[in-house]
Formats: sequence, C-alpha cells, structure tokens
Amino acid sequence: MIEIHDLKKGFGGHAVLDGVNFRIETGESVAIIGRSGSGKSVLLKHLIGLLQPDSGAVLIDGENIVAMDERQLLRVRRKFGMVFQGAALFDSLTVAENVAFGLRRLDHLSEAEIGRRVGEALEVVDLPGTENKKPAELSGGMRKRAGLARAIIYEPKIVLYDEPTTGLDPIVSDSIDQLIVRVRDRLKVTTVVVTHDMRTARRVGQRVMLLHDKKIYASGAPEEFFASQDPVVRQFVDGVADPKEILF
Amino acid sequence: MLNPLANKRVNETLTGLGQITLLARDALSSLVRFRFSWPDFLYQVYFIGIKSQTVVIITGAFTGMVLGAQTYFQFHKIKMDTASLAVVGVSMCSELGPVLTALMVAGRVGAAMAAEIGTMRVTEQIDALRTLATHPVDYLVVPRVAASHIALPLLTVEAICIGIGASYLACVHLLGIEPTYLWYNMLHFTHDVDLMIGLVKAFIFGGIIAIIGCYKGMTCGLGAEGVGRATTEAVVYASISILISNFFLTMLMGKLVGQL
Repeated sequence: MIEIHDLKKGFGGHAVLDGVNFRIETGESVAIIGRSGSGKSVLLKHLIGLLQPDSGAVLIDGENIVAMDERQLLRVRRKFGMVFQGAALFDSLTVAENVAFGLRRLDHLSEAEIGRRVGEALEVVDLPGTENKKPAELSGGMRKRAGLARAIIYEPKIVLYDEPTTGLDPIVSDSIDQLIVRVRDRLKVTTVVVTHDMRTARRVGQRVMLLHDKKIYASGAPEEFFASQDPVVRQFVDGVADPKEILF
Repeated sequence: MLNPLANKRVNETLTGLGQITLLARDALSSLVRFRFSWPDFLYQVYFIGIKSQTVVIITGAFTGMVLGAQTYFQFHKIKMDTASLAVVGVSMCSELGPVLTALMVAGRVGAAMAAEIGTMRVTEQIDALRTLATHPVDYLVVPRVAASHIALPLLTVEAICIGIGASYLACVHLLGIEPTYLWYNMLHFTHDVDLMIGLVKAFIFGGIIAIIGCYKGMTCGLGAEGVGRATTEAVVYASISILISNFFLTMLMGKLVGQL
C-alpha cells in the first residue's frame, strides 16, 4: 500500500507539488494524469525515493521512506519496478544483460536459471530473439518493452510507469497498454501509471487521478472520471486549449 | 569581506570539496565491504591500463629523450656527459613519470568517466540503477576508483622504464655518450626510494582522477551542455589537483625519507 501525506516539493523557489494527499491500495491500478510540467513525474519519483520532498510523508507498506538514507532505501526499492519515459536502458549492456540486471543484483541464481527467466520475460513483452542486441539497435517501442521486462523480471509488488506511451505511434501505444494490463493481471501487482494519454489512462487505470495546480484535483473510477462535468477535468479530457495560451 | 560573486564562488568550491570527500568516503566504505562487482573492476583495469598504452608510451619515451638531451647540453659544458641518464632516472622515477602519466590519464580516462556517468545521469540510467536496488557508488564509482588506484602505478612504472630506455638510446646513439658509465651512473644515483616515491604518488593520483571524474559525472547539469561542461571540468580539476598535490607529496615524502 502507498500513502502520500501532505507532500510538498519545489525547485529553486518554485513549488511543483503543494500538499498532495492520496492512498493506493495493494493490487490497485491507478493512472495519474495531468498537463506536461504539472509535476506527475516528480510525484512518481517520490514514491520510490528518487526525490526527497521538502515536507510530507511517503509511506510504503506503512514505512515512511522520507526519513531513509540511500542504503536503507535500497531495501524498500526491491518491492518496486519502474519503467522510465525514455526506457533508461543501460547503453553498455545487451538487452539480456539489461533485463537480467535486477535478478543478478537481488538473487543468487544460476546462469541457466537467469537465462531462462530472461527468455520468459522477453516473451511476455513480445521481444523474443533480441537478447544480444544493444539498446541503440532497438526502436522506441522495443526499448520501452525491454524496460518493462527489466522492471518485472524479479516480480516486484509495485510497478511504476512514467509516460509509457509518450512518443509512440497509436498502434505501439495500444500494445504497450495491453502489456501493462497483462502484467497487472498476471502478476497481481500494484500499478501506478503517469500519463497524459487519455486512452492509456482509461484502459489501464482502475482509478484515475488528475494532478492540477500542484494538488490532486480530482479522483475517481474511469467511467465516473471521464463523465465528470467539472470544467478543469473536462478541459483536460477533451484537450481544449485555454484561449489565453493560444499565441497566434 | 568578499563581494557576493566571490562569496558564491568560495561557497561552491567548498561545497564541491566537501561532496567529493563524502563520495570518497562512500567509495572507501563500499570497497572495504567488497560491495563492488569484480567483472566491472577488471573491465575498468583494462580500460584504464591497456587502452592508455599509446599515450603512456609516447609520453614516457619523448619526455625521457628530451630530458636526456637537455641534461646532456648542460652537462657537456662541464664534462659530465655520463651523468645525464642519472638525472633522467631520478626525475622520471620521482616526478616526471607519475605526474605526466597522471596528467595524460586524466585527459583520457577522467574525461571518459565524467562523460559516461554524466550521460547516464541525463538519460535517467542512474535513477534506473537506484530503482533496481543498486547503489550508484557501488556500481559506478568503486570499480573505477579501485581500478584507477591499481592501473596508474603500473602505467607509471611502464612510463619510467620506457623513458629511461628511450633516453639511453638517444644519449648513446644520437649524442654519442659512452654507454657503460652512462648506465652505471644512472643505477648509482637512482635509488629504490625514488621509485617508491613515484609509486605512492601514482597511487594517490589514480584515486584523484577517478573520484573527480565520477563526481563530475554524477553531478553534471542537464543536457549535452551539462555533460560537456562536466567532462571539461573533470580534466581541468583533476590536472590542477595532481599538480598541487604533487608539491605537497614531494615535501611530505622528502621529509619522511630524510631528503629534507
């Protein structure tokens, strides 16, 4: 279970998050949506301790991770898998070495066992036969899939996705959405997806939260959320620009 | 009272020195607990040691030959031609070998470390390491620092041998100095302690190059500009640190071995 209490974070005197509160139950799947630059990725990075808040608390299974140092956080992070916006695969390693990275660090498995599990993980994300390729040889969608395989291979309890479909064409985006749902249902993991893609939010979220004006502005089940008549929610869902923001 | 700009600069410098010290402490703590990966360490020894062969050989050979020739030009006036190689031996072992090797390695390896780790930082690969329950110091810093500590003394020995050998050949075949006394004088005046001083310096310079390269990479600014600046600063700061620390090491070890 993830709990956030009165989280505040700013950069260079500019507040990005100002009193964020929410709770995500074990096994739940939540999509956090918001405009570009609204602080979605900053919020996500707080959940796994990659950023430290200015104030507030982040509780993972009841443990406040804000007070922990980097080495203590390593233990908590074993519960997490994270898929980055740009995949963040290690350039110097092959796809197989990237995917096996978490296994080698966390467990003492034989090479044969690691090879078998890497093959399985790559099957799950529809990337068989890419074991010996370097990340630079993969397309954007393939890199995201490999990043997902790396995040789920050691069967974490919580998987975080940072803009999983940004920059991908609709067909690849659809396959990534299906993959997120498949991983969620097969591994029964808690899923947190940060996105500004309405289709992704609708398909993968059992609950949708809107981050607006440095706070969680609205939250609800997808059907209820997308039917909302709140002007801020409607503007974002319908993708209507504010007249003040139209330059020409 | 300093003006605000100078004050800010002093603050940044002191903060940077403090952070480098903390990074070195973290790396040492990881090292003594064997938290690092042996394959990564061996790869770094290969990268720093084997891949630096060309620059180290050229630097050692030409520095030795130039020093031999210059010494000969002066000593020839007072009929001390055969002492030329002794000057080269002492200088290469205790000063030129470690310092020039370290400066060349700082340019090649320090820059590469800052650029590689800096690129990992801006492409979120360091964050990815952390999410995979891996401490960046264990995975990135410790193998590099340990390998640099090991590789630099070995490269320095190589540069010293090449430098003295090249200088001997230049003195004998180009300048026509009598080889037996040339070699005898070099052995007579170059002591074990000169070589020991050079190796201790090389060991320390190795740590300086790696820790500054890693620190600059891990704290680099965003984008290509940030990586470029980190790379330049890694080379400049490592080179300055080597030159300044060399003076203090010379004074300290001179005192310890009774040369002062």
